[in-house]
Amino acid sequence: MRGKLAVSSAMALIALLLTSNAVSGAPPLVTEASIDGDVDLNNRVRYGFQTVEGSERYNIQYSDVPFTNLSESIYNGQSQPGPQAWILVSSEPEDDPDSPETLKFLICWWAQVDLPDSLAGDFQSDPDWKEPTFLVGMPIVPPEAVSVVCDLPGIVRGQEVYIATVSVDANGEFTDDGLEVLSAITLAESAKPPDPDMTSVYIAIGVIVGSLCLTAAVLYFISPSKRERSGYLFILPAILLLATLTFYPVGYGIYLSFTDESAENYGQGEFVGLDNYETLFSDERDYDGDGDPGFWRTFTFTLVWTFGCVAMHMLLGVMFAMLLESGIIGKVAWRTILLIPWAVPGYISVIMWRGMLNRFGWVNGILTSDIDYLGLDNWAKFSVIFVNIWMGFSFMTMTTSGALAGIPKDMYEAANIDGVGRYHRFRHLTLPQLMPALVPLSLLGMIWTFNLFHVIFLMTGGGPDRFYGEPGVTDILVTFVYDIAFIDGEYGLGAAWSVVIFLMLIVFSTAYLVVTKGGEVEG
Amino acid sequence: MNENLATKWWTPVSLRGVVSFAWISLLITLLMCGISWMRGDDTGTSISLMVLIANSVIVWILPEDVPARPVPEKFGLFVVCGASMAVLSTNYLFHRSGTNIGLTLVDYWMASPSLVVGATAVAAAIKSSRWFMGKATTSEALEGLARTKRHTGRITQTAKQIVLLHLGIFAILPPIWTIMLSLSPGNSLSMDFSLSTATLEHYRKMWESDRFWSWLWNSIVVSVATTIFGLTIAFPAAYGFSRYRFHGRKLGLFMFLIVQMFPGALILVPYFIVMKGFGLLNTYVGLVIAYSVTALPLCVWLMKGFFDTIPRELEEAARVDGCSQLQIFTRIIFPLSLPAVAVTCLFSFLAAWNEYLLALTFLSDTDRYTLPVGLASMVSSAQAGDSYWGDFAAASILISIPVVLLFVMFQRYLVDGMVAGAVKG
Repeated sequence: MRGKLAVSSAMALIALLLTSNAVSGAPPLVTEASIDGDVDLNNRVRYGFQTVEGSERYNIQYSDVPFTNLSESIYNGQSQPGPQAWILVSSEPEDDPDSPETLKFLICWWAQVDLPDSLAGDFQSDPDWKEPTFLVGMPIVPPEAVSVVCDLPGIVRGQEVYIATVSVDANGEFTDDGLEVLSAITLAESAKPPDPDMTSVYIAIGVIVGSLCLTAAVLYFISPSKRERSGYLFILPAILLLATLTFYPVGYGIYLSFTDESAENYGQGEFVGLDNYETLFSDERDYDGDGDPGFWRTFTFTLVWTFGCVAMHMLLGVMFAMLLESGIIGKVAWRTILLIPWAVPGYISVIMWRGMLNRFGWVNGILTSDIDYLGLDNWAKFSVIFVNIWMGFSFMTMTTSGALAGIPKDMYEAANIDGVGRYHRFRHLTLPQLMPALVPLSLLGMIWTFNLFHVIFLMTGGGPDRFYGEPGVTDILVTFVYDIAFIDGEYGLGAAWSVVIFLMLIVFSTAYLVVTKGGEVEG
Repeated sequence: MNENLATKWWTPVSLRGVVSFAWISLLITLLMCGISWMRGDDTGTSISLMVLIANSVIVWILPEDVPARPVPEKFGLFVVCGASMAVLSTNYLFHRSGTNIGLTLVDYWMASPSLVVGATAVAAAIKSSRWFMGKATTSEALEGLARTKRHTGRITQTAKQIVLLHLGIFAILPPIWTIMLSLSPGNSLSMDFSLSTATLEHYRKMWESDRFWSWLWNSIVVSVATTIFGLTIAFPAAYGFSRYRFHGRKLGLFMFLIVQMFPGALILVPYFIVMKGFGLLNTYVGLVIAYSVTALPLCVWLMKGFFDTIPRELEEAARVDGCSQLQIFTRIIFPLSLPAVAVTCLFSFLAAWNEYLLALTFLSDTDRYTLPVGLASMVSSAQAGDSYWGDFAAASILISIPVVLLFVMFQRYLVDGMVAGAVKG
């Protein structure tokens, strides 16, 4: 998968030399950033440099803001400035590097020749270039290496990054002198397919429309009741639309999941059986080599996200609805204010919160704290859930307060006379009356939240820690499927993920249908 | 007998106040701990932890509800905790003003509830000591009962209003922030809002921007077309399901129910391919069709539910009077179902107006962007220096106001519709 060559039209990368303030000290490292056009790894920035005599180690620092000295280089998600990657120069691979586990290099090559003019080649098969030995994931190049090429991970598509190499001598000294900062940006377009051959799609849609019309006609004419049969005519347009634009795509998606269709070979995909499903659970796509291909991680977070959000929605919704319905002064005004999170268009709310939670945003401003809410793993998870709670609680408050208003008041009066305590009044009076409304609402809420795309996509894009082709820390299943399909261009694999998601949703949906008794179809 | 009852049912009104506000104070102190910890302020964290403990003890000592049993041995603990809450929160304020960051509104907000609860606890000590010891006389109790009766409602109302005030601020904080951002000069996030520098430049810029108007126009066209097209399809379908009992009716209804649970991600890729095949990417038609289909099930279920409430006899009578099917449709059913039609329209309109994922996938041409994709692109464009936060904020305010007004006006229908959608499908 990694060896596939680029569809070069899908991407381009601009690399430009920003500053070159080589003044004194060691000769500047010759550096160059480039892109290699590998579609499924299209967030990769390839980076090469000449080595310097007497170096013990090279630190590669990168940041998403320009920096002029090393202490300013922080990449998304790192709270402490410092090197984001190391390359050790050593003839003895047993050397103990400092904190190798933070190292996230994927691929790196060294050679005893100068850097080539273009870095976009295939270093893997080039006899001049060798892969370094690795020590706990840390690449070690021998001292005789002249130049090094490595792929920088974790570059989010479209995000400009600034990169610098620093050589560290035997005493662990390194210097800002001669710091050269490169800027690189992946301008990879979303991998969307070229014009496909649509004949099969036309045929399939034709067949569906034809057979449905035929079925309707047959049913119409064999229908025992002349009166009732015109119903077919009324529902036919809606059924046709639903069949061609929902059921057919779903079936087509399931078919795609058994093929190796991708943006590159669209239309020529072959049937590969269950390969995609195996890939899903295997470590074939475990690019950063931490033994975790991401499926179970994403799955766990999806569950945390779904249950956490819905539980908080219900809790806050019931609490605030009871408050609203407990004879409050200015009920209409409060209701209107509490309506706002629901009323403001969702994408606007999400972006508002993203701005507020930005490291230099308002939340840190008024709390006088300094936390990168969207860049630190646990904070990012907390933040996306928090924002979704903000967006959803008001809907639950509204619906619950509607349900509460329908509970007869005389029961409470009777309970008051009997001296029933507040807890028991809630537990044995209010809750049983609310349950018929709350249970289906919460199940539907779970289905919605499970499928909710734009909150996470617009807040964090799945990050932090989005390494090529692997889900980020806050990715949930549906946001990651989007990445696989439209950024990596792996339609088959994306479809396989979708089918797995679909199977999970069936659990929620069955529960929902059982609870609502098949949606009261009789009604 | 009467005497015993009076003393038994009486709690000093100040204690009732402390009970109500101790819960609020507990929650805010919890936040105080969290915020101090987030600031990395160790002294602040330990002070607020101590306040939290004292506060919890008070909540534990005081009975939550009447009738309360006087508990002599707890009186000392009560006063000590109240005093320490007052002292600790004062101490917290001094500590914060000593740090170079200085006091913020947040600090006052965090310290004030425990200050008030603590001070009230100490102030009420004399009166409550008699109550705790069970030494209150009957006349005291009777007088206290009358006072309690007068004040309890006011105290609980105030407590509820305080809770709602916090909730309300929580709810409108992001919109407030956006308004401030849209009024402050410059396009950066680190705004420095003040009334004297407030400017309408972002609004003016958006108003004069062609991009904004073309996005708005796209959104309007797509949403209106979706509403009309979706209704044209959904109305007869809902009518058919409601009025006719044909074979396969239940199956059909069930289909309309389960498609709502299909994950959008599942059909995104095939959708994209089909739309591409028909040349419908970057067109209004493609989006309109996709949105109509997405909204179709809910529309059908909503209107079917409403049609079920219109008596069939009405139509039978019209038919006897010689109305054709079309006339029944236009003269009877449609006028009667106008409320349901209006709600359904509102739903499909808002769904199309706010949709992001499909629009993002189908549209690549900047001029064809709908508002969600367009606005999102203003703050997530490739170059870091290219984010237009101020302009985004101004545009968001312009867009949100009509939508929020719609919600406020039609909230009852929207809630009912959503609940109907949830409970019935």
